[in-house]
Amino acid sequence: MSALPAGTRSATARGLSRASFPARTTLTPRDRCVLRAIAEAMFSQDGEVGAGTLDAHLDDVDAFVSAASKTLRFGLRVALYVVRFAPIFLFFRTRTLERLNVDDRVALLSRLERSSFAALSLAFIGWRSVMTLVFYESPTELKRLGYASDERHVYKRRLPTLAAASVVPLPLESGTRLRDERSPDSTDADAVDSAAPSPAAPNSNRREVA
Amino acid sequence: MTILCGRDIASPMSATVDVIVIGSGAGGAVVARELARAGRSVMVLEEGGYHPPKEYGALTPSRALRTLAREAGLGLAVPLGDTPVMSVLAGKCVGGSSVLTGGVCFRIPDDVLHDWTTRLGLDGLTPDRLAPYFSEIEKDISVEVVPESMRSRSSELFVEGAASLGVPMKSLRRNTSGCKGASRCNFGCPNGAKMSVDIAILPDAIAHGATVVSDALVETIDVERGVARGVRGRFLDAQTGEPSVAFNLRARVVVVACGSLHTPILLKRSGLGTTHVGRHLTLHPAFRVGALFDDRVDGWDGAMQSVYSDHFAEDGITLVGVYTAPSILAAAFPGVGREHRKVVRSMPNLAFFGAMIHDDGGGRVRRWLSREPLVTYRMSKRDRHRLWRGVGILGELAFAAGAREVMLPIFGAEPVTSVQELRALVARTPSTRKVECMSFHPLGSAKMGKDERSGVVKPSGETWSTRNLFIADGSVLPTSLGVNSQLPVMAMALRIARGIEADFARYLRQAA
Repeated sequence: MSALPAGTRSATARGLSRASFPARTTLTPRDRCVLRAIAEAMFSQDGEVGAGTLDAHLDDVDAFVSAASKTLRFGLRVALYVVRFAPIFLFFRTRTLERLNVDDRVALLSRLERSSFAALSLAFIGWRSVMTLVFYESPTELKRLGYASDERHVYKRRLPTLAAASVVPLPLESGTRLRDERSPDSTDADAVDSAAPSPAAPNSNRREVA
Repeated sequence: MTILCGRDIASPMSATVDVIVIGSGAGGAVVARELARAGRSVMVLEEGGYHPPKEYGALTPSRALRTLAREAGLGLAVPLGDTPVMSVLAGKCVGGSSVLTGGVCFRIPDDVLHDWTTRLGLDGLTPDRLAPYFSEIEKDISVEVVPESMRSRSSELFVEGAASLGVPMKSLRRNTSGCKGASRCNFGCPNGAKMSVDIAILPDAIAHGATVVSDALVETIDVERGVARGVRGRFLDAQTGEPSVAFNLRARVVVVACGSLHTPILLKRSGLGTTHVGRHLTLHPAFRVGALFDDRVDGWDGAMQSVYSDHFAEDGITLVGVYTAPSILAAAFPGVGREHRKVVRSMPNLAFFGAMIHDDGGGRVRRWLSREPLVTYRMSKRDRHRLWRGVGILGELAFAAGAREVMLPIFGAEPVTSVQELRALVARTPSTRKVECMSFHPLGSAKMGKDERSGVVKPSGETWSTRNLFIADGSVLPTSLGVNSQLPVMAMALRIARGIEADFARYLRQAA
């Protein structure tokens, strides 16, 4: 193979990977204004979320959608226009979404969600999905909804088994529907029990849980 | 693992190798490793970026999607007719979709293989002939049964509900080692426990001399006198992600492994779009119901997927327990404002039960305005029936498990509170367009066929139209499987790679 060009660097040599393309943005100031109005209706109907949090949320939403292709970003902006002008064809009011008060916005978005025109409904649901996904990642919100921490407990029940068997062999059950080699009356517990140490099936990739 | 980052390459690049592999996912990684082990010079070109597995833990789900997935996970199959809108998740990073799977491993069911060999006339794809490939890959990626102790409470409730209705459930197998039940396998395992190909396969390929280049967009395959000669493309700009610096690579053999959505696009862009290219796409439409319980469930504590049932396999429905990151679940909840917040606050008491349909090939992949394909999907009448049947089954299991309310995957629908209400709703069969579906296994868009009239590639993986050009990803699987496709794709890729190596002298002669 011919030599690679000078200046070529490897990711490990650089020691740090970059998550996205920083020069990409999608939302115009007007888009942000509409999205902020939606965010307020979705997450702060009773004023429970601060203005700063909502603004920061929009930055994260922009970064998220900016990772998509030009075509999809264009489609999302079209969808946002549909939501923005929805009061005209749903409420027959000559106001755009961001000019409605919060409760009217909630009523409008609820009607959009239930609209029998799938395209109308999806224009809102698409943006709601993106905004909700980003919003509920905040540690504060996760804590509020009952997600205490990243600590996990279930796997600890398994630790004694692993300690006894640092090498877990491949199971008898192939995982293919018609290739179950166990007897019809055997249970799943048997499959787990069958995961006892066996020198016949070593697996070099396996690591012990610390 | 040392990866060359295309976004750091500032001057045009040219090289000559034995084999170019386009795509570093489940198919491409296996082919690259096999041929590198056989002593061939191999270069793997990946459009996505490289992110070391140790970084996955620092990625929130949205960051993981925008970093590791195509279209930030917002890709859709455009519905035609009475068809649900389906999000289609595919990887775009070193490791491809294997980084984003739940890790579930099934072999290709025997009845599917029987169909391929008898109805489609594909030789050599019997269970016995494929078993050695499956066994080898299962060892390589550490396939193990998810023990009962790793089941989340959500999965336990699924099993309890199924048991009370006489539906047997089994433990899934996944490619994990040291799983700690973080329940977020599909955003890159934060504990490095999922043996995706960037952990289990590519390091070995590199150790045997393969070169992996990230941020490298292949734009066209060069073909001269009916023989593939190499590829041309551009590295992506570090700031904008747009194609910039060109590369021109020559090879004796070219292997396309871009996945079912992009392999047809690359073939068409290279003037190789034969009749079947981009058609017959199957998606395995998947859906889930939420079940609200009086007691806390905390479904995030445990393996993301641990149980399944093939009880309804003859009806084309596979039931699968699933629970993913809270923010992802919240994104699918109905309502606006206070109403939505109320449902989100009930998250600790919610369990989720999922199902997947063994579908007909109603999808199509087309080139259009951007680098990303236009994917359309028309659900068949049979599959619509299966979809509603599946929704009904999941709802009944939820009530049998003691759920107080069941949230159906229908946009804007109120939760149902009784089995009677559920049955009445399913009997009415509302418009399927309002159903929320997902697809994680796009397959079949460059399918294998016994001759040029029936498919894009031969059973060996070589294209019928171009010599020395192979396809080794999910697009070659000629029908949907009814089960998760990661292991089948890897096993088929291994088979194709072994075939390439066995006949390499012939390919060299053809390339001369």
